[in-house]
Amino acid sequence: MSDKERDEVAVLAVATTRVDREEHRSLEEMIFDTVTEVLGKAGMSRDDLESIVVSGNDEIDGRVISIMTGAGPAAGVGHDVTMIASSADHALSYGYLRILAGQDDRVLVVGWAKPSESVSSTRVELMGAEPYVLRQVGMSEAVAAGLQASKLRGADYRPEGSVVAWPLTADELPAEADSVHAIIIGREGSFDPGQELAWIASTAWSTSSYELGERDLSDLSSLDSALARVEQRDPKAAPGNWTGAEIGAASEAVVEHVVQQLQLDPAKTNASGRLSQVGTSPYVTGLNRMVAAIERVVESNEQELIAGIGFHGFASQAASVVVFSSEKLV
Amino acid sequence: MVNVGIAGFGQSKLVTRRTDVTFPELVREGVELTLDDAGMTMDDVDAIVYPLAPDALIGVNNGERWVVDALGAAGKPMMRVNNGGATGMSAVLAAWTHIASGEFDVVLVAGADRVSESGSAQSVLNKMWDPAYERLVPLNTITMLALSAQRYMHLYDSTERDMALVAEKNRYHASLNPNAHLRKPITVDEVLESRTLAWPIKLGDACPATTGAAGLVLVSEKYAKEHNLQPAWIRGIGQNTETFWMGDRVGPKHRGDHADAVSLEEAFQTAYEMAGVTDPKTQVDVAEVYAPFSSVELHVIEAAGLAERGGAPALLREGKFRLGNEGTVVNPSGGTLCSNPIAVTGTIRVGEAANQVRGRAGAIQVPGARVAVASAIGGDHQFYSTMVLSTDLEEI
Repeated sequence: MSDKERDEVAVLAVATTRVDREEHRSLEEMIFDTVTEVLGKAGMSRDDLESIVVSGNDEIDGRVISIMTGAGPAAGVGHDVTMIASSADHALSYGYLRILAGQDDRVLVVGWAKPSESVSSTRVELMGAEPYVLRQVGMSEAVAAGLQASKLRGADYRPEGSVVAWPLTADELPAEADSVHAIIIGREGSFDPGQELAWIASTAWSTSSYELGERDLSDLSSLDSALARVEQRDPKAAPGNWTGAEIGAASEAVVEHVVQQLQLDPAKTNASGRLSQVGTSPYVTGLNRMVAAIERVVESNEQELIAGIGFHGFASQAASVVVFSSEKLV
Repeated sequence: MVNVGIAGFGQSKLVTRRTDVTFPELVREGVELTLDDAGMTMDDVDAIVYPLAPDALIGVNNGERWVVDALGAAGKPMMRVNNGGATGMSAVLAAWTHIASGEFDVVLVAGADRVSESGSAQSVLNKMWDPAYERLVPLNTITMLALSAQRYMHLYDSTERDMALVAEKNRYHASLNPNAHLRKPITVDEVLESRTLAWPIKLGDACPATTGAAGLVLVSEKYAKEHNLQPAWIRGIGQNTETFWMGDRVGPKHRGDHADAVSLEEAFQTAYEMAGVTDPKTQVDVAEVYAPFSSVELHVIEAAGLAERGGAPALLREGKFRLGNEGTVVNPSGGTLCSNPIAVTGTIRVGEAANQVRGRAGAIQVPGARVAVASAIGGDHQFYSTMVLSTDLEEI
């Protein structure tokens, strides 16, 4: 890591469109509406933006190159647009890096998923399985989450209620919804003091093996390595100082495990709602929770340090953490 | 701003089909070639940016997750870029951002593509247009760019022979490049006599569907000094975006005529301003530009400022842009026209440009090359990436 002094970066505006099943607008119309809203909230026009980072999934969207149809409604024409396609929460981290790099003063980050347009989300998830073994098995987010939950909860655990993927019940799995999130972030000095909704205190992301058989599924090593980086960057942003967390995961078993492992206050974790209450798609679940973390910072009268955490890939293969604070960490 | 350099470039042999490796094994091949070239191991790498364009071409959704182990990325920060055909270069720009942010010192960009595995790449690529109108035309990357070529011929009084001159030049260059896919030279007459794919584009004007792997290692100036590396320095970068709608590329409200590459020209200007390039015709020694069809190279040369609009054909007729001749050499590797493993095509453009300014290009070396440019194009001529590289950090 260089000796470069780090700029302070803040969230300037947030807009979310979330609909259980959007029947009247195309994905592109949803993106346009959400971006229009976030620009309005920030008091900006598209000309005030220097770059746009977008994130969508080709298969969920049913568009072979999702950025092609999404860039225009995301205000991208005539702009520097990059699609971060591994996960929508990575897009926020990349936007943050762009500001630190001195490329931009203001970046619009847009993440989307409209699973209702695909014939079957499970079918799309199956296409994420490699064709030799996992696809033959019929792997999906829920099946992988069940494997992980079995390991996390142990062989003696007996679920209560109707099981979807052993040992997980429907209310322990994420609800599905169509959603678009738009966030404008800016470098300190590029906006009027007081305009910021929250400061980005830290961000980190990491991955682990794809091979389920190679991993101890009770060990969330992707989160561990991401948190090690948070600690290394600035110990003040580490979990011991968090006042709350919003966690997007494949099941409540993972949320419970993270709460236990990081010794988080359960009452201050996922205060925006359980996974089954806040509809989303696995592709945007992390960004969805990061927006929730920002909103909690905004709504609170206290000094807050709230983390947004996102897992993606089968059985939490990868993890992202973005920590938001009400005040700059000094 | 933190200076960023390219300290390693690896690419596999670029071929039509590989049946000896799985997709992750092919990715691994690119990683090993790249790290070997940089004299590094995966332990030296802080983060990975993975280029992968349409998932549909490899048949696995979020294919980057599948190759984590092959990349050696487990336990490290990794993200994927997908800017269509520009992906391989947009990923390099994202890696530049990683280092310029001050957060990382060594970033690996490595990936692969096996376009032949998709059965019909053009059928897959047709699905990138909207289902209600333009998909039904039917558009694919060949018909889309045939429209651009027709428009260019109409506006600038250019001919199919001008396109064939590009193909002949690049196939000659590729014949000297041991990694290129199409290495057999072709004459202008052979191009003109080849079968028409979508007029005026003929088989001889078109890129192949390529399988192969490639990668780059980017380092911070601090790391380069500490490890006594002499990388190719990235001096300027740019990206820009055109409208999705093909029907909006002509007429009174267009941003740029479909004959030209106006948004690419703007992206080049951004990179030139950052690098201090004021007269590319005299300052740029080498251009590795993304042009999957011969017609595209004409307007890319112009967008790069190496010729006036509509002026590229006349210069080609004079023998310009050819290895061994005076002035900027364009695509000494043979370019995208001779090798197109889509996800890493842009990565290879940057790598070839970096090799040129590092004096490591072998039989395709442009003597004394100090300043090079690279570019890539994605979507329906919609996403543009540009870069200026140099041997040193002195004023260009």
